[in-house]
Amino acid sequence: MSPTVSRPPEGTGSTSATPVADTAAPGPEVVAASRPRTVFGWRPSTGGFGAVWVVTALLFVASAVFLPGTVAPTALLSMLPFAAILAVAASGQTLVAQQGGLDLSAAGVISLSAVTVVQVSGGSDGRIVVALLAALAAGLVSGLVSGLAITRFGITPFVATLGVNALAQGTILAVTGGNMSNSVPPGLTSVVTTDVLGVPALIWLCVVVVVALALLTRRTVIGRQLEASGANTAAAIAVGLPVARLRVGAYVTAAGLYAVAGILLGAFIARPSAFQGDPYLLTTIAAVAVGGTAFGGGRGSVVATAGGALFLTQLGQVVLASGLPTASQNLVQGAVIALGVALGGGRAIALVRRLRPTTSTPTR
Amino acid sequence: MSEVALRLAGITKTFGTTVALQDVDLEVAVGEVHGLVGENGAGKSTLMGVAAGSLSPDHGEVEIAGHVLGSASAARAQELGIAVVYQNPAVVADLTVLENLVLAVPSPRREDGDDTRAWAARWLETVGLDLDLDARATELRTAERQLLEIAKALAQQPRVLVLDEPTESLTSDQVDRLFGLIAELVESGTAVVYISHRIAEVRRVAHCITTLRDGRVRGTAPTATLTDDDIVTMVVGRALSAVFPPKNATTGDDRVVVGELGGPGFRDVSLTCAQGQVVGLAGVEGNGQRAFLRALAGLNPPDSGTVRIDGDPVDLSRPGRATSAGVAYIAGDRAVEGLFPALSVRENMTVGHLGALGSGGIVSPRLERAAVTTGMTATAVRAASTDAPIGTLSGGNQQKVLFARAIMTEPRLLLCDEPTRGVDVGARREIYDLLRERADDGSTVVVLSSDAAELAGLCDEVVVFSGGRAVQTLRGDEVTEEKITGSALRAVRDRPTDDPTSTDRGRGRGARMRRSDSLPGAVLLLLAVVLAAVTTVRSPTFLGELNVQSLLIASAALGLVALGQLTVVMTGGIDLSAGPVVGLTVVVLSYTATDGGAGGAAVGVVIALAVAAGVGLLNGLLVLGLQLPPIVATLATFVAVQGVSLLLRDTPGGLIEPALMSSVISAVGPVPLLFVVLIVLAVLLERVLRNPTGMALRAAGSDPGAAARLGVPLGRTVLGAYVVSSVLAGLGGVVVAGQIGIGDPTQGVTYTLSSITVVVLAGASVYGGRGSYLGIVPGAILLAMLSNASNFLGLNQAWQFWLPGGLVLVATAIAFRTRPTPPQSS
Repeated sequence: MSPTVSRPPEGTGSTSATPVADTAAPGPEVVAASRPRTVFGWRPSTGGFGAVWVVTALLFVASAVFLPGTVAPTALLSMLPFAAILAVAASGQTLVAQQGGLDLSAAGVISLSAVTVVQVSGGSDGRIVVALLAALAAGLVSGLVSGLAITRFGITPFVATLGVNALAQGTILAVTGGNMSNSVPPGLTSVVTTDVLGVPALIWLCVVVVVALALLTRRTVIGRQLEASGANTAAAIAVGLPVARLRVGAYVTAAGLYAVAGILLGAFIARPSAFQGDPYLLTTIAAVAVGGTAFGGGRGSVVATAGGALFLTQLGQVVLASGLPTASQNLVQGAVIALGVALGGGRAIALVRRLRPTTSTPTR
Repeated sequence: MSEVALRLAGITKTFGTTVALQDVDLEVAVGEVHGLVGENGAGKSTLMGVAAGSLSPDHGEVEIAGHVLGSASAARAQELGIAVVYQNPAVVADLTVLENLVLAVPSPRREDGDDTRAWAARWLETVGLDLDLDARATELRTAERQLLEIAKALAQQPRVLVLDEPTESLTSDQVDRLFGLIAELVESGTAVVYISHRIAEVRRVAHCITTLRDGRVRGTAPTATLTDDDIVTMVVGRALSAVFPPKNATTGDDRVVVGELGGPGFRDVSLTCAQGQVVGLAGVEGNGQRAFLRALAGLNPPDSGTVRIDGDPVDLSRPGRATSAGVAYIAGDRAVEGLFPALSVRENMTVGHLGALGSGGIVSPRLERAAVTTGMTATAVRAASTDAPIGTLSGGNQQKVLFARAIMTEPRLLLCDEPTRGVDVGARREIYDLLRERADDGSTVVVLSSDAAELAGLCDEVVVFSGGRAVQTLRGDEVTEEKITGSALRAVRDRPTDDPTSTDRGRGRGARMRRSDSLPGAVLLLLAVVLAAVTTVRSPTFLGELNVQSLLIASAALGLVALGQLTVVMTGGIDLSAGPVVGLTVVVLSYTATDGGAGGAAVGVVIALAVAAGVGLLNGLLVLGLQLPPIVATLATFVAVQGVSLLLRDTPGGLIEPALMSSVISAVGPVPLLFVVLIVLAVLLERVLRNPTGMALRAAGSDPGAAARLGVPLGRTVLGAYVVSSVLAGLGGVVVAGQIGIGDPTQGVTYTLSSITVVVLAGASVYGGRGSYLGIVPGAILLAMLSNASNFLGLNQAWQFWLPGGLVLVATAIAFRTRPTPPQSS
């Protein structure tokens, strides 16, 4: 969490005296090692973010071989909407992780937006637009509070979002009293479940959101500046980027994405509970970890995170179908988070290299 | 030669492909002062890092006072008798002056009798430092920190004393005193290694001198046999004049006019720079030249005076404004302020210029590629590919990428801080050429360097800083290394100004109380009393014995978990798994403590706590072994532990031994025994915090780099903290189990967030290093009371979330305002 920048010995620009912080300064490494690695002859263009798709593909192959039921069309159709919703929410978490933060308010904001849709609309189709706007606004305001708390008041991201999560949960209790009698307007539910090209419209919506966000982060000036601010805040400031504004923007956008996820989740299951978003605290973080976005800040890929979301959701199905108790899903998730972060990005290679004598470096 | 105190034999050390040291031999005799000179990056500090056991050499052997230092261990090296005064003092900011001294000198080697304070005061006096022993190191000025670093080393009464650039921030009186001390030490048989780039100082103090260049020893000789020229030739290894491009014969129009500019660290600076000129900023470190340069870059906003470029006033309130006025800045410390390590060469190069490389906010890949190609060609960057991570390049090529970034914006004013730090000799020439070309192309170039020879060779004009002012401007023939150094050193011996990064807040008693770790606890206690009073007025039964008892038991459970959480937070980590460990303990107890009376319950509790300790061990290993960020590691165990609880009990079941339940609720009057246990534990832990174990804990969190150099066993300390956290969470679980009496797997999860809330409310720094165990008690009471009181007050249950959530935000925001900022990269 706290980036330890211990001053390296003069001149060498590498290595810190502490054995713990090896991420602080980039060591001058071998140029040859920077060439993109190939996976079965296919060269991922986004250094390290291709791996999640390989792993996901392997999971589906294994599913088909050992538990064919989990890849039957009906099983996939019931799994995909949840994977899609998780992908949208986890995209928000990706933006925050890219800024070196961790967003503990994802669960609260998702629940809050689902609750807002129900309470504002009162379940009637006539008020769908107002309800959607209110839900989005609730999300954006939450993100604004987090962002300002972090940039203006210097509060650590996880503490700030922890506080905002509590505020969101309190608000849910205040407006619902703990249980909700109404459902989401039926019109909204029927829109998101309409069959478009064989899958619910919801999935297409999520694909559009993720692709739009991917383009925003990869191709636009703002996206590139966000990446730079996360990679090295001090350097971003020195080069003149409006780091505070960018960072607030990242938290607001993230919370907006949680709100969208909450709206879609509520609409899809029609009768959300007051705390429907709770599981998303962990699963969004896990999806980011599996996708390979580093929590230290910098490089991030929403597309890879979407892959992580698909992987996690299918893995859940496999665990269920294999007859293991529901609780064992937690164990699997825990291991996936730890391994995902430990091995994600280029870290697997870095770990291996650290364990080996430094003399021989591969390739070329 | 007489007995050898320090022997380094055949030391080779590489960082990636950079060879920092190659086959270096060095012998220092007992009673000898051995000077070690060399340029920045020559390998001096790396060599001493190896000698002090904080860096592990690839090859070679370290022998201290006749004993071989087997593997790199700072603690072992200290035991053998080496003490190092670091250029960047290993002073832990969050510890007091006294604690820094005590941590540096383990008690077996401390001759203090019973009076540690007197011992510490004696060593402070030795170095001429007049300081409150209880002042926190953050409050010290740069020079005071340096002297404290020297006092720490002397207090170890070392056989070998290494001084690495010890005089940078000292006044001449202080330097004289230091040299006196060195003379005394040498007489008593200590060996001294004196590292400096100031040849005059080294000549004055050293018996013999070894020169390092590019990681190799270039010669060792008695000082008396060496002239300054001999030393310079050995250090530089080349004729100086050949390296630099020709200077500018003609001067253009006035471009940058600085009028009486003042700001943090500098004042009343007026100067005029012409177009096409390279202007150098010189001075002894910390005399305002860097503060001034950073002010021009918008990184150290001035508070008075004006800057005009081509007649237009420039807003220097933030870097973005300076950039748009045509200023570009190349940082002195590439790793901290220059590079984006995770990003590619291409991304690093264009990051400041993206808006111009496309339209409508979209970056055009074609334009970007073209710009990068131009930049690569202009600066002759050697890289495997423009998509290679910047970290894979050599220092010189990294610097050239930063240079390409700066000139891409065609700046009117180019600022460059230490242009050749950590750059090999070959690339230096290219960088000098680039700076000169940029000036010829019409920019004004301002260069700051601590290397007078570099300024002399490169600059048309050199402005010398002292005490925050520009005291002299050297022009034309005056721009020589001797003049620059002489001017800087003659001017400097009045008191150096503080660098703008050092905090100099109020040092009085009141100011210290405001920053005290126990203040938040007192405020929380006050809040709790007020809340209790208000609630009692509204609803007198609130203070009834039954309610007070259940409130205190709830506080005890929460408080125990929070004590553990604080232990981890103190190391700069976080333990998200605390809540699930509470739940797991409850579930385990529902198997292990179901019968057998008090004895059976006790056995069950021990087993449950052992299970909890296992989780802590796992957390510690994930953090240390897999190097996971603590928040991720404990998130993984959070999920997994919850899974285990659910596997053990998918629904509540298993009645817990009544003896356990009755001991949990047993009380003296309205005060439950467990609450007393909480207070006793808090007091004990608070005491531990002041002893060496606690100091190690705080040092590990406050400044792991300094802690490692001090020989603090970081791994053991961090691992221990996670185990303590889980065991205390387990104890909290025992309390919860005693209250509910059944194995309910869903209990406990909320303790993660509430324990963090308590820790934050109690004023701990989430950056590690600071916190108060005593403050946990009122924090836990207040939080337990918030949910309890809102029932009595008839408030909506939403307030049970709003109040803690709001409190956390407000408390951390206030803490941020009233305290010195956390140690960020400075």
